[in-house]
Amino acid sequence: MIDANELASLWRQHSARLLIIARAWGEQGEDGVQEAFVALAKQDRLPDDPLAWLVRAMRNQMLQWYRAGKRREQRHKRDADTASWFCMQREIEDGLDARLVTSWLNEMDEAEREVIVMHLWGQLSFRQIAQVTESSSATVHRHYSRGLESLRKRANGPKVPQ
Amino acid sequence: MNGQNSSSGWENQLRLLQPTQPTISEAEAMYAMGYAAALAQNKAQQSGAGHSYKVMMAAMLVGMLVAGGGGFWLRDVISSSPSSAIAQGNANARVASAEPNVIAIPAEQPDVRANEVAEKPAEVLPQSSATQWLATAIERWWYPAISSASRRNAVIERDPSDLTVFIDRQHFVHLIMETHAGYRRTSPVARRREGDLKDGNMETVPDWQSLEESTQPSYLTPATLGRNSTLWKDWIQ
Repeated sequence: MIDANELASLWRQHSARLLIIARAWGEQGEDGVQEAFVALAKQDRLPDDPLAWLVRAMRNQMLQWYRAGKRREQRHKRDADTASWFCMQREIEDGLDARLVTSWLNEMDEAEREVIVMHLWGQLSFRQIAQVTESSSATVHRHYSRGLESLRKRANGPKVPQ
Repeated sequence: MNGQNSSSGWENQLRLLQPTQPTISEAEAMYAMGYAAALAQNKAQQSGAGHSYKVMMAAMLVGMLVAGGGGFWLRDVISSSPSSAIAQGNANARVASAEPNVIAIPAEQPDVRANEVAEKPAEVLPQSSATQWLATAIERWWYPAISSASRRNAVIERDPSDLTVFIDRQHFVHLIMETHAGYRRTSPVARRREGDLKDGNMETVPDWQSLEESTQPSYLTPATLGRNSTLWKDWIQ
């Protein structure tokens, strides 16, 4: 059984990354994060790559929910729609507006958003993402480049009225 | 915006954004994980017990977390273990399950009937890595969480259509406490005198008997969980 301290450390290290990845999949993220960690706690030993394992477990769980047609409560959905995926960082001069970036991400192509979020904020390598999404590294890289470009276009385009 | 003309600059700018943390705290997450792990191990150890197992992590966590409208859910499967202590709790729970479906503890009028049926202390609980793990998780994370959760509503629900045996929170915590090696080793009063009883510290593990007699209850004990318990009142404010 995995040591409690080890799990606590993994929670501190990865829970925020997992949350944003879960959000990129369009469902309520916190349930997915919890389920992934609960599944990890049931393992006899720590996986070789805990982060990739957690992402895979979370993705499988969320796909299962999706296929079963289970939707989150409307209240949660609403919260997810309006909440920023990022902390507000007023101290960073010329920093990007967290809410604006959240809205851009929500508008993006699903496959591109998934890769962008996993790589930029989930800190997964392209190889790890390819394993999670069951695609090739080349495909992942292509989605990433397109996604990055798509975000840049949005940033340079007309601002969303506040 | 600066840096948008170069791909790496734009990438770096995006990277500066920090993802938000989950609203669930580490304490609550650890409790859920420990609970799940214990359930999984108990399930694996049992054969033909005839119980269904529903780990209602989400409901429990939401219940713990949602201020105002939330509650606490506890469906215990340790009850079907062969241990005598567990069997005692199981019997108590069966007595309790003859009552109506839901025991709710409203904020105005605390009702702790479920806690009154399982007051006999547990004597033996098999030492397993799961229960040991859970004891650690509870001591380190859940107790501090309880102390900071005094404004949450408490709702205990029992569903007779579900074969999961209900054990009240007090009995459950007692079972867990029994598994810890340090439990009963030194009274909390003695430790308090030594000045090493601090919140969040492993040494905050209370001695059950001493706490029953204590005039200043700190944790969940049969005495503090009584009908007129101040703890309940504090907890559901």
